[in-house]
Amino acid sequence: MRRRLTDIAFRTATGLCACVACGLLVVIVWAICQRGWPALSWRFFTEQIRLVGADGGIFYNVLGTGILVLTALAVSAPLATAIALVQAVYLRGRPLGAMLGLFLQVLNGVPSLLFGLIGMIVFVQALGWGKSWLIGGLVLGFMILPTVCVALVERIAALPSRYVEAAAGLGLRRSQIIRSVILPQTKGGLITGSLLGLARAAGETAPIMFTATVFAGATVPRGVSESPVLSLPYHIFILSQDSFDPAVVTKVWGAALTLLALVCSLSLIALPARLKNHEEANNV
Amino acid sequence: MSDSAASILRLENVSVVAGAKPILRGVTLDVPEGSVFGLIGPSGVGKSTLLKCCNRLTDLIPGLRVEGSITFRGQSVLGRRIDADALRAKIGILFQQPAVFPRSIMANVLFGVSHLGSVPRRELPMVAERALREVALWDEVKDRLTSSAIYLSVGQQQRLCLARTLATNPDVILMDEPTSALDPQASEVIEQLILRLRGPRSVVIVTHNFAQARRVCDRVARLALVHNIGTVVEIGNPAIVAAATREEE
Repeated sequence: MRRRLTDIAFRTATGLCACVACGLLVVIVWAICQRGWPALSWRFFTEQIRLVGADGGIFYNVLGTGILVLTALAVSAPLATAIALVQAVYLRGRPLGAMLGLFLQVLNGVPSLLFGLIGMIVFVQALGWGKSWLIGGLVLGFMILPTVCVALVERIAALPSRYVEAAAGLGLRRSQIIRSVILPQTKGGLITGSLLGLARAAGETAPIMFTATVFAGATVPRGVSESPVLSLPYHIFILSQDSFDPAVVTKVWGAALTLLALVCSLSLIALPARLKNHEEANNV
Repeated sequence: MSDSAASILRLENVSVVAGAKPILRGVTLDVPEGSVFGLIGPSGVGKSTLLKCCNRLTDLIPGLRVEGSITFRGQSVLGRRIDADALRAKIGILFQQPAVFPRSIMANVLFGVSHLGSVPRRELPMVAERALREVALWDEVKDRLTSSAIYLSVGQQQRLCLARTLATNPDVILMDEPTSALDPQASEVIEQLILRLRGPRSVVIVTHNFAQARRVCDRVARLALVHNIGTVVEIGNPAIVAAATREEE
């Protein structure tokens, strides 16, 4: 009887915690939808910002955020893959591999503002690039590197050793095993890690405010140096601080809803690949 | 099988240490060419580890150290300058659990040979057919070669893994309890295949089933724990080793 009661109490407590987490998300999404929905219109997505955010739309902000996120993906995915392979394959079970893992954890703990400051000192000032979408992408890419790496390392570690042993037993070189066995079977980790990282990167303001983005006056970047972009998080950050005009506030909520939808759509885009991976993992 | 047949694999005073813990000590044995050689003994005695030493799959286990001498056709296996990958193409292995890749049946059979580049691309379909026929799987899968291999039965998957190994044309095939995950019928099929492989190829099989050892092996080495470390305590004809073991027990 006592065991049964403990079981019920435990189940109730865990269920309540899950409900709190889901409820919190529902409240946030509901609040953003309710306030942001009136701002959404065709013009909102196709026009550029006017009258300091009181009129016009967020076309170039969405475009800028897209450019920053895609650049971050292009920077982080190959680097994270290489680092994860070094840690989980070449240095597996060695002290140097454990040190690399510790280094990634420390990197993960570095505040995003510091990434922005380092990006500004190195790229904007020392190299003289000025504010640029490329610097923003690089900084965001480095910032999400640990998230992508850890997801991939965990996936590689969870890969049943029989696959690697089977391939090695056939005489394949280590690079062939990586290309034919490890990467195809762990791409779910890369997708999951990249999504988690990009979702975080898409909403970050601190790393890009000194390096890549401006509030107004930028359109499509035509070069690398002195080519800032507009972005959704910086747009929301500036307007939510400075504006008391109800028309602007509605547009801020509209921008927040768009950012939320962007992050959700990133997850939806990768869903088929993740489901396929999951199905294969359960069938093998 | 004559005892005087030339050795294809020779292990001399082989010891294995994991970190600071000795697993195997002083193992010496000869595998005659073209024979089926069994490694028998209870669980945890180091049979599978010993098997993996023969093609240096132990290199994949961090912290494992192999000492002593292992030679394959007279050439050292354990030397630092030995190309372990090339060695594994000559000494294939079949595991307890079939490890098919989530790819088509055809891609699985050709997985090793296509990466080794030892066969021209146009000849690969013929290699696949020959390997699948050799393991008596061709008739069962010839109409669905492009279907995923993960939907085959476990017995079929194990034969597919054997076909994949045979496609690389190894001289020796190491088998680590290849029938322990299979039902009696599928086990019998694998045993028949082992008997057919004898001659052109040499087989080293790990089993803890004396009856199976008697059915398929020409010679067996019995391993046991001595002072908590695995070692070979007897080598000989499987029937005689089995009888001696029963007497000891």
